[in-house]
Order: sequence, then C-alpha cells, then structure tokens
Amino acid sequence: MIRSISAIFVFIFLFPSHAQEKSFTSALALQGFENVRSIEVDSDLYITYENNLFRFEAKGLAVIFNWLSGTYLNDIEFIHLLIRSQDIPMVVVSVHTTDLTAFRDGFINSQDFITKLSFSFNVDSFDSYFTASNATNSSYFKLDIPVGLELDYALGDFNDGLMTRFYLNPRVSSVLGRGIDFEFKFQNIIQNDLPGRAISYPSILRVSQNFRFNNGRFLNLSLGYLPQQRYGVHTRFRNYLVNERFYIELLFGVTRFGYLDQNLKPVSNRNSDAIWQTSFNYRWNKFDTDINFTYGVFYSGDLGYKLQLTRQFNEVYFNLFYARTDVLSAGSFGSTEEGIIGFSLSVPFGQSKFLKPRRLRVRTEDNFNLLYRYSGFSFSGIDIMESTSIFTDIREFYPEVLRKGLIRHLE
Amino acid sequence: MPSKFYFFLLCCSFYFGVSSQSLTGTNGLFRMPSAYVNPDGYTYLGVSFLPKGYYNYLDDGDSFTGMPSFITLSLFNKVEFMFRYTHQLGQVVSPETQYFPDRMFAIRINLIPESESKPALTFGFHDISEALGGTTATPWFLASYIVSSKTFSLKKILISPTMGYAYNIFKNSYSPVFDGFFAGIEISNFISPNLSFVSEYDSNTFNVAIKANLFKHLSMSIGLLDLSVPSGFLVYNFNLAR
Repeated sequence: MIRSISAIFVFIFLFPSHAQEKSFTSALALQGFENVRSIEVDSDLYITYENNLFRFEAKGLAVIFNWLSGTYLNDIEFIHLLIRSQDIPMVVVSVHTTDLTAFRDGFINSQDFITKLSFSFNVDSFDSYFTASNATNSSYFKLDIPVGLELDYALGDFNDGLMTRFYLNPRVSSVLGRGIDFEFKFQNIIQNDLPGRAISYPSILRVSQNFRFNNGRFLNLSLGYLPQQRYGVHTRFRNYLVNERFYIELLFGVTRFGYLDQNLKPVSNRNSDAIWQTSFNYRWNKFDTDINFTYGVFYSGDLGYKLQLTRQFNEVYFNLFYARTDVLSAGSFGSTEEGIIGFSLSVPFGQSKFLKPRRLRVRTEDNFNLLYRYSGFSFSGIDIMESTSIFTDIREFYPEVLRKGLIRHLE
Repeated sequence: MPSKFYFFLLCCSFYFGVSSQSLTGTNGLFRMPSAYVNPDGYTYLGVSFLPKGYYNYLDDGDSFTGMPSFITLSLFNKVEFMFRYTHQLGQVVSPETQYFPDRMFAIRINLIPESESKPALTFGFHDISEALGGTTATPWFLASYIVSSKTFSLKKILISPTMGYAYNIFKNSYSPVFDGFFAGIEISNFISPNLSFVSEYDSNTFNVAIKANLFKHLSMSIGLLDLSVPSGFLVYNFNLAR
C-alpha cells in the first residue's frame, strides 16, 4: 500500500507534463489512430485524432473513452477531444476528468457518463491549439484500398422479372495533404443480365480539395473523371447555421460526358454542361433525420425540385424522396407521370474494424447502397453522384449521432 | 392431438410481445389494420398468403394465390412506411401473360397516440402512389382509412378492440382492399403474452386468427378468412434504433 502511494506521489510530482502529452499521442497512434496531437494548456488537455480504424466514428470515440478512463491523468481537469477527417477538424467532445474517473470506478454507468459529455460542431477555437504541433502517425500518402459490392437492377420487364448487374469495385484512395485526396475506382462487373452495353472500366479518377472555414462553412472541389461518366469540375459549398441543425448548400459543376474505357483510353464528347443545385436542409436531432429540399439541375439536365427525408440509424440510412422536374417519368403500360417517388437504403458492409492504416491497406467498403425508383425507366430527378469527400460521412460527426452511438458502443 | 396443441402454445409463450403485423404488411389484426404504430426504428420483413378469391390483382385473384412480401419501417413513433411486392404463385412473367408482380407503398400516420383515457387514432393510405402523381396506374391494393384502437386490461386478460372506416378518397376505379366499416378484437393474456387471438370483420369478410411469437425476432399468424379459407403470414423483426 505504502509502495503504491509512493509511486503515485512520484508520478504526480515528477512526471513532466510534456512527457504526458507525448505519452497520450504515442498511445493513440499505437492503437492505430492518425494525425494525433495533444497539448496541455493550464489544467485542460486537448487531444486531436482521426479515426480510420473503425467504420463508425462513435465506435472510435468509445474506444478512446475506454482507454482514457483507464489512464492516469495528472493535474488535468478537462479533456477536449477534437475529431478530424482528412486532417480537417470536425467536432469536439469535452469531459471533466472527475466524470471520467467516476465512470472508470463504476460510480456512474455509461448512460450517465454520456449525459456529462459536452459536444460541439463548432470547432474553430479548439483547432488553433494544434497549429504549432506536428501530427503523430500522419494519414498522408497512405494507400487505402476499399473493396465494395454494388448492384444495379431492373424490375418490370415481361421477359425477365428481375434483371441484375453486380459489381465488385476496388477503390484506391490517398490523402495527400490537409483536405486533399486522390481517388481511383475501378468498376468491375461480376454478373450481368441487364440489357445494353456494359464494360468494366475505371469509373473514377480525380483529386479533391476539401476546406473547412470558420463558422461551419465547408467547401469541396473535385476535378477529374467523376461518377456517372462525367469529366470536369464539381464544387459543393455548405454553410451550417445553428450548428448542424440547418444548412444551405450550393452545388456547381461544369462537366462533359467522358470516361476512361477498359484500355484507359479517354472517351468524351465536346459538349460541356453546367449543373447547379441549391439545397436547404433541416436536421431533426431527436430522430437523427434530415429534411431536405433541393432545387436545380439534376443528372439528366432536368430542372426541378426534390424533397427528401432521411432517417439515420447510426450507420443505416433510410431515405424517402419525391422529385418533380421538367422530364416526364415513364410509367407502366406507356403512361407518363409528372413526378417520381422512391427510397434508398444504405447499410454497413463488411468489417466494422479495419486493419491499422499503414502504407498500404486493403479493407471492405463502408456501405452497401440500394436505390428504388418507382418508375425505373424515368430520368427525372436523378441525383448527381459525387465521389467520396468531406461530406460523405459528415453526419457521423454530428453531436447527437455521436452521443447515441456512444450509448451503443461504450462499455 | 390436444397435447401437441398445448405444447405448441407453450412454445409460443417464451418471448414477450405479439407481432403487430397483419396480412397486408402494416400494423393490424389479421387482415384489417389497427391504429397502433410501433416505436421508431422497428423494422419488419415478412411474407403473407392471400388465398385465391380473397384479393384482386390484374383480375387474376381468383386463379392464383397471392404472396405479398414486404418491408415495414416505423419512424418517429408516429409513422409507418411499407414497401410491398405482391407475387402470384404459379403465374409466369412473360409478354404473353402481361403479368408482373405488383409494387406498392403504404404510409400510416398516427395522429393520436394511445393514452389512459384516449384511444389511438391513425390515418392509413395504401397503394396511393398514383394519387401523388408519381407512379404507375395500378393501384390494385388501394386503401385509405381512419382507424382507432384501445387496449383494456381485465385482470390477466388484455383486450384490444379496433374499429375504423375505409373510404376511397382518391376516387380510383379499382376495387379497394377495405371498403366501409371494419372492426375487430384482439385478446391476449399476461401468462402467455406471446399468443393472441383475433376476431375481425375487415369490411369484406369475417376472419379469425391466432398470432404468436416463436422466437425473439420471428412471429407468425394463422387464421381463416371468411371463417373457412386458411391464410397466414410470417414476419422477421428487428430494431434499427438500437
């Protein structure tokens, strides 16, 4: 007993704070978290990290809290965790060490502990603490190769009730700098009974730059061969108001029909199209639901609007939509209709925990997506697809999603 | 035979809560709907069997058994959304038959949740996509109705009467699934809460059924439509919000 007390005494008074910071960053980097930095300011400990180890952001946060609760925290009152994506700060979670200790010692359960946490999607003041420090276990220049399954299908042909085309798509992505990433995706057909010509070919080859500005403003610029056989530039700007509860978004792109064929030979036409959309989105935090209204030009060059309701259940997304544009939908038996309704489902796919990110890593894709459009032959209101960007998983960083995810994952 | 039947009932009583789905795929008794909507995130994947002569689709309902397969999701504790794909067993998809399985959406909105003094009140809309201007012109399973349910406890017995009225507000020419007044009662008890008995008039026929939970995520119902023709459904459920 006396020996233990002496050890604690020595630890408290002789363990220098910068060594403690170093031990935090090393421990997190050793676990596989990236872009780790930590700094002590007065009695506050600031830690920033990026999770590319767990598919779901809340799971990564739960692992860090479990680790922190078993760690000796010398003279620290508050801990602030700043979570990043592509080295861009996304959300901050703060906790008082007495709550962490109470959770560790079993005086409060995980549910009570989560109520003590403070979340904020406004990170401007926190990121400034890390500008001078170098990241441990940088995420830059590592090759990640997610492999995913995709499905195209058609219902309603009298010759064949269900026609399918399955793809097994490997993708290569790499973060080249803060917010800069490169992506190459090969669309690989493994089964096909859909009519029409279809080839396995490189469907995406692009670079992107993502920015986060002050006051919750995000920007993505993408250049190259983009999804849906479009070649050109896409920009997406999103301004969050009242944290994540409301945002306005603008999409603008100039693209032409173009892709690389199976021999990597560019195929394109000379006509460039300008596309634009503006969106208004309300986030109903109680039920993790987005209510979205989009007006603008859709994939087929059709002008109109789309109403969407998306319910998020942790990693599962259920989306209902109704679109009405200036392209008529083709209905059954030769009829035409003015709008289209449908739904989509995105479910987690493959591993929930990946191998530690190293120079080269192969893993499964995060999601499998299924889209159902009631009028299958309609070109009305089709979304403009974009490759992965800062917006792809941004909803996982919303405070309420993290809070509910912690309830599920915190032991 | 009686001992086997009682053993079956015993097996049915291992898990709590009786499936609330119906033959149509939405929350209900046997074929008629109830006013209850499940908590947010509850999802049901199921199949049911519609005997020949007890449904109408492409005017072939007298020739083939219908097999609806459905996915039903509860949202916000107030809304139930269903997508259903109704097959006809034995019917061939071909240019000659001009047959293709039917697709439909249903949305039900619970306006008043059940409380100690008030019954639950729900509006239901089945196969109304054409009315929204968004789909094909085949509303064979069209229905729009208002329905109310209330559960009473009498000692160890739970009694849930339901009544409603269906009226085709979309003025469509196809025969609606429900037409006019419907009512029914579901009875269960605290000793074997996984088993319930249903008796109903679904606006077309009188029906009786037994509903049971066989395992934690699986439930089924077997009953007689028009008190004579066997029918039933099998449902797998899970909660996405957990």
